[in-house]
Amino acid sequence: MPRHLLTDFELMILLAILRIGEEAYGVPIAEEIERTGGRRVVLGAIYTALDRLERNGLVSSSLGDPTPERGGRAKRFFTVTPQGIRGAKETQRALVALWKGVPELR
Amino acid sequence: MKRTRPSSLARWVLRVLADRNEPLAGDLLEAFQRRQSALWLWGQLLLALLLGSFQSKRAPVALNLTPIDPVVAEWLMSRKLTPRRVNLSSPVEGVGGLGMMLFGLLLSSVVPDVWWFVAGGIASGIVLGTAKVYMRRNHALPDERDGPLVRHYFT
Repeated sequence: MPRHLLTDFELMILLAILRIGEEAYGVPIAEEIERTGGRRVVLGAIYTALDRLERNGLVSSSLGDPTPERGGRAKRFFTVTPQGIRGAKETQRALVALWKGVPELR
Repeated sequence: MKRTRPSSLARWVLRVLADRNEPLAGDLLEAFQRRQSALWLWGQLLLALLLGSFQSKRAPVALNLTPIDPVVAEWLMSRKLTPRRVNLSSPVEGVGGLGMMLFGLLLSSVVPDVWWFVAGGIASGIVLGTAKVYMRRNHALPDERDGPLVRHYFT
């Protein structure tokens, strides 16, 4: 049993980073969640969650070069750490186990 | 409402907030270029402020002490020596009191946390200024006329 299961939003962010790959920064992560998760997201909320995930060692980040279309501001690229992958798998296992005990829904 | 670039006020807010979280400010600008909605941008900015996403980097409080310390020390010492006329309308030349009030209101709505730095800076400045006055109470000023007065009032 993991000490901390991920929230649905944290899990979506981790999965979005894994789907995007090396180019995972704020904007593509938000777009990925909006496209596949079907929900509108606030970029600030993504950064708040990412900061928390990084503090817990589930993701790591690095700054890219500043670009003119972003007003000369750098991108912050995120990658999922082995601990993050383990956390996502454990959360998925817990969710699947919970679903198994649910009677058939109409 | 469709815009090709953010309003000057939104750009200014983004510039100020970029000091705290540069990647988020860049992301907001990049996403705005695609969506071109001022309403969306302001919504994102306000929600980011409410969520504290722009508070990842903070200036150390100690940085605020240096400019205030000599000012307060000067004020404390000048009150004991010769009374001076003080202009309370506005501390910034060319900007009226009303302008400063509007600026204060804008700060309160955009980055209310800044008042903690101002209050902390003023309180620390008073403490440091008072300490400086007491440390110098036995030393005469270079001016012959002020020296005895300082000794008289501070000893």
